[in-house]
Formats: sequence, C-alpha cells, structure tokens
Amino acid sequence: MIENALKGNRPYWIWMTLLLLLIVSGISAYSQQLRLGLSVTGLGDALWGLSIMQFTFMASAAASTLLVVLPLSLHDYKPFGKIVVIAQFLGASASAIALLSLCIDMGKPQLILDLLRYATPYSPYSWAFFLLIGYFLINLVTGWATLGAERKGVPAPTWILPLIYLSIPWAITLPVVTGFVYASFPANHWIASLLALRLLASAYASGTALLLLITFIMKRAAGFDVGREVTDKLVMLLTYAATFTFVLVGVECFASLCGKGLLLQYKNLMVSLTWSSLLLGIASLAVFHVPAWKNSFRHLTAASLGVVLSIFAEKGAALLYLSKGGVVAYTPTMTELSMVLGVLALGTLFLTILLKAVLAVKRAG
Amino acid sequence: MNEERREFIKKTSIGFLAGIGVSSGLFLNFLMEKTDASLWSDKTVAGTIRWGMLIDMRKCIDGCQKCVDACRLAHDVPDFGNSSRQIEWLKKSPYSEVFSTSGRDFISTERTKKSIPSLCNHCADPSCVRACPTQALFKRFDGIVALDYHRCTGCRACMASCPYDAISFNWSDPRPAIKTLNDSYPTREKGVVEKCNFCSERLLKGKLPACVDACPEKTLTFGDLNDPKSAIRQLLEKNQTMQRKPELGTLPSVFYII
Repeated sequence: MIENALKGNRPYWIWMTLLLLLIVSGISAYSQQLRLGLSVTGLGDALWGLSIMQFTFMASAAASTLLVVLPLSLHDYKPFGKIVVIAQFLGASASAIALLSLCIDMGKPQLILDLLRYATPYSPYSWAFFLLIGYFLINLVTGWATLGAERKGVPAPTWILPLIYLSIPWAITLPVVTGFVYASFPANHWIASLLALRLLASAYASGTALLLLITFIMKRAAGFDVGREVTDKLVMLLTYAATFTFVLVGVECFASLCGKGLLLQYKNLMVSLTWSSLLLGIASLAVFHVPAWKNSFRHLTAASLGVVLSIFAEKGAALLYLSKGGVVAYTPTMTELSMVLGVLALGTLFLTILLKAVLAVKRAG
Repeated sequence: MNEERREFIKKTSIGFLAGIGVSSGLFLNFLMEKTDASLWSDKTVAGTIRWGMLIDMRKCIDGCQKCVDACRLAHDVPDFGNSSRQIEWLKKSPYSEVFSTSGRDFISTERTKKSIPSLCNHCADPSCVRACPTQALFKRFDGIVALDYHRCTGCRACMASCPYDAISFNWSDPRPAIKTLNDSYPTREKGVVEKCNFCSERLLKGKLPACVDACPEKTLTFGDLNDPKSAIRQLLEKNQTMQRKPELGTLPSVFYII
C-alpha cells in the first residue's frame, strides 16, 4: 500500500517537494540549535514558545479522532466507516507532530527516552509524553489494520477492537493532561480547572476542522468524495465543539476583564492574540450557522481554516502568561520558525503518504 | 505455504523471547549498577533534618554583593550580564519582586528601597519536584531540593512551576561565561537547568553555605529547622518573620525578617 506514495500527478509532486524543502530548512535550523543551544530561539523571558504552542495544538487536535471513532464503534453510525481510517491517520500524524515539537523544545533531546525510563506519575509533562506515544501507536496500528482488511475485502480483524475502545478514553485524557501541564502553574494557584476543559473542547473543534479540510482537499485533488451525509455530520460536530470552545474562551476573556486581569493591564502581543483569536473564531462559527453558507464549499473551507487558526492563536496566548504571574514579550526567531515548520511539514508528509495509501484502496474497492 | 510461514514466525519469536528471558537472568548483575546500601546506614534518617535559612534584612547592607559573588564563585555560575538569559542561584532584587504578592500600601520606604537576597526556597512541598518529568529534581533526606544535572532533559517544566523564579536554564554553553573558574564544583552544559543547592557539597565537609560565610554582617543564618535549639529556630521564635508567597502552600524553608 505504501508504494502508492511514489505515484502521483504534477500537483502531488509539487506538494511533496514543498514539504521536503520545509523539512530540509527545519533540519538545518535544528542543527544550528543543537550546536548553539536554545539561545537560537526567541525564548528567555518566555520559557516556552512556538514549538510548545504547536505541541499543545497538535496533541489536542489528535484527540478529535474520537468524534469519528466513537459514533462508528459505539453507536454504529455506519457512514463514518468511510472516513474512520483518515481520522485515525490524522490522529497518528498529529501525535507525531506533537512529539517532535516537544523534542525540538528540549535542551537535551538525546535524553528524550528518559521521559519513559523515569516516567513520573505526578508530572503532567511526563503523562503527556507517554499518552502521545500510545495514541500515535494505537491510531497507526488500528488505521493500518482496518485499511489492510479493506484492501482485501474482508472485515477488519477482531484484535483491533480492544485497541479502538481503548483509544476512546485515551482521546479524552490526552487534551486534559496537556491542559494540566499549564493548569498547574503557580499563577493559577496550582489548578485552573477551566483550562483543561477549554483544551478538550478546542481539541474537538480544531481536529474536526482539520478533518473537514482534509476531506475537501481529497475531493479536489483526488476526486475522492466522502459524501454529503458525512460532511454534514462533521459540520454539525464541528459547530457544537466550536461553539463550546468559543464560549469558554469568551468566559476567560470576560473573567480577565472583570477581575482586572492581565488582558487589560498589558497592551502587547498577547492581548491582540486572544482578542483576534476570539473574533476570528466567532466569525467562523457564524458561517456554520447560516444555512445558505453551510452548503457552500468555499464558505466551509474558509470557516474551517478560521477555526484552526483561531484555536492555534489561542494556544499562543495561553503560553505568554508567565507562570509566576504577569505577561512577557516574546518574538520567535526565524530559526525557531523554520524548526516548527519543518516538524509540521514532516508530519504532513507522513500524513500525505498514509492518505495516498487510503486513496489507492478506496479507488480499487 | 502461508501456514508454514506463520508457524516459523511463531517459533522464532518464542525462541527470541526465551533467549531474552534467559540472558536477562544470566546477566542481571552485569546490566544493572549495584547500589551499596551500607553507604546510607550511618546517614541521618529521612525527615529528621530540615535545612533552612533566615535572612535578617535589618542587617543587610544595600549595594553589597558579597553573598552573590561568593555563590557565583563557589558554583561556577556563569554570568550573562543583565540579559533575560542570566543564570542566578542567589540574587538581590527589590521588595516588590521578592514579595510580589504581599501588600505594599503605606509600607515604609525603609523596606522597599533595599534589595533583598532571594534563592531557592527548598520548599517542604516543592512544586518543581512534582513538575519534573524525569525526577531529575528531587527532595533529599535533609530537606534540600537537589538536581541531577545528568538526568535533566531541559524541558523547563520546573521553571514554569516554580513561583519564586529560582531556577535558571542554560540557553547556551555556560562555560565561556564563567568569570573565575573554580574546581570545587562541576560546571554545567547547555540545555540543562540549574539552581541553588544550599551548598550541599560544602555541608558534606561540615562547612556553612558560601553565601552565609561571605556575609560580613551575619545577615544570613543557616541551620536545622527541625531542631528547636538551633540558632535559626531561636530567631524564628523571637521575631516576626515572613516566607515568600506562603499562600501557595509550598512551605518555603527560607525565612525573612524585613
């Protein structure tokens, strides 16, 4: 199945070349970081930056596989059978991006496996790493096995069922634990309980938006149509999740306003980030609620992109809080940006290769 | 054909696993480093000592940097100047930073104009130890929050969780930035965090921490908080003292008389 990645038309190869270029520039930036340390980044006052932002976003977006797997496996909603493998591969790729983003942020990446060797039950960071590796493997294995069975025209093997059921609580835990990494900051008096919830809701919104975008791209580029019913259902799930997310972000902004919070005290990047994130999110959300636009391919694409960007920006806003209180200025350097884009490109390349296999099977079948 | 292949794979994997099992039994001692338990037998029982420090600001001279300099020298702490990437085990900063959550209305300028030494609080309930994903940070038998530089992965979760800004990260190679190299303590490398260790290497030799020794005014008092007869406990008994951000429940072992 994997050999299909070597066959493709012109746009496919342009896409792959672009990704490879980004990966190469990422590798060269990373080699610089390995030589000079994290001083090549814009960090210093800010402890965590762009790469941890990507980690948070991807770790939570990965969990959205749940919204396809759960209706299919527990409620027997058959139409999702068409996209379950795509959702699982998206989950696996997003977990891989999140893991690599953590890796490029580490001062001593050569010790990354020590995170498993000395896994610490009371450290949320430790849990996030462990859960990501597990989630990556579960999704890759179950997705690949399902696809293999589909190619042979036989029902999926029964041994993947326990894994699929396991992936459901796993997908709920992943964004919650990622949220706990930040929720346990001292400025939050050790627990900001809304943060984990916000991440959970935003996970399902951003992940479903990504999935919707992928199905659109597959339809455009490869003529693979998931069908009206699946698209409608995805849009519905996305609308619910996004509504809930932006209500929570709004609550956060309101609480900051009322409590003489940080949002008003500091006129800097973070303020504009949070507010523009919220506005963009609400604007995108409006598109999903207008019946005429809901059926328009263009409007849906724009709105899904809006949701993804808005939620990504909101992750950044959360990071710029100083753990001990207050807000810091932080501007990422080009080196940092190249590394983060390189990781993103690597994960996208991985996803493209997997989706190529999916397309080959769907076309043959 | 297919059946045969399956059988073959099955048998080889069982053989392989059995091989691993046998070899791990045979080479158990070879693979694992031995711990000599007798080394610990004469050490103080866990929980009986809790090192602490009292900083008496009535004696501290403004502008004096002797404790800070002594600390830098004792531990080869690199000096990156006044940048956001400065590494500090012990520093002197204004009241508004050290006691950022304490009330500041109408307090005497006497208090606010002096810069106050601050260091790792060696909390009884340290949040950095909880945040560290590899247990590179740990609490010792004597209350000192210690750090294993070789195990630190440089993830900075401890820095994010420390309410006192007591942990620094080596954003670049620290060695070129060390002013005077001292052989009594190992230098660190880029990509790890570092912080005050209450001079555990000096305590081992029966000496006081370098900052306590260096202070000409005896501003800093070091001692066992669990011993009611110690000098530090006597001072705590007689004076009104403060801890930094007590509301967070970390139970700092560093006290202040302001």
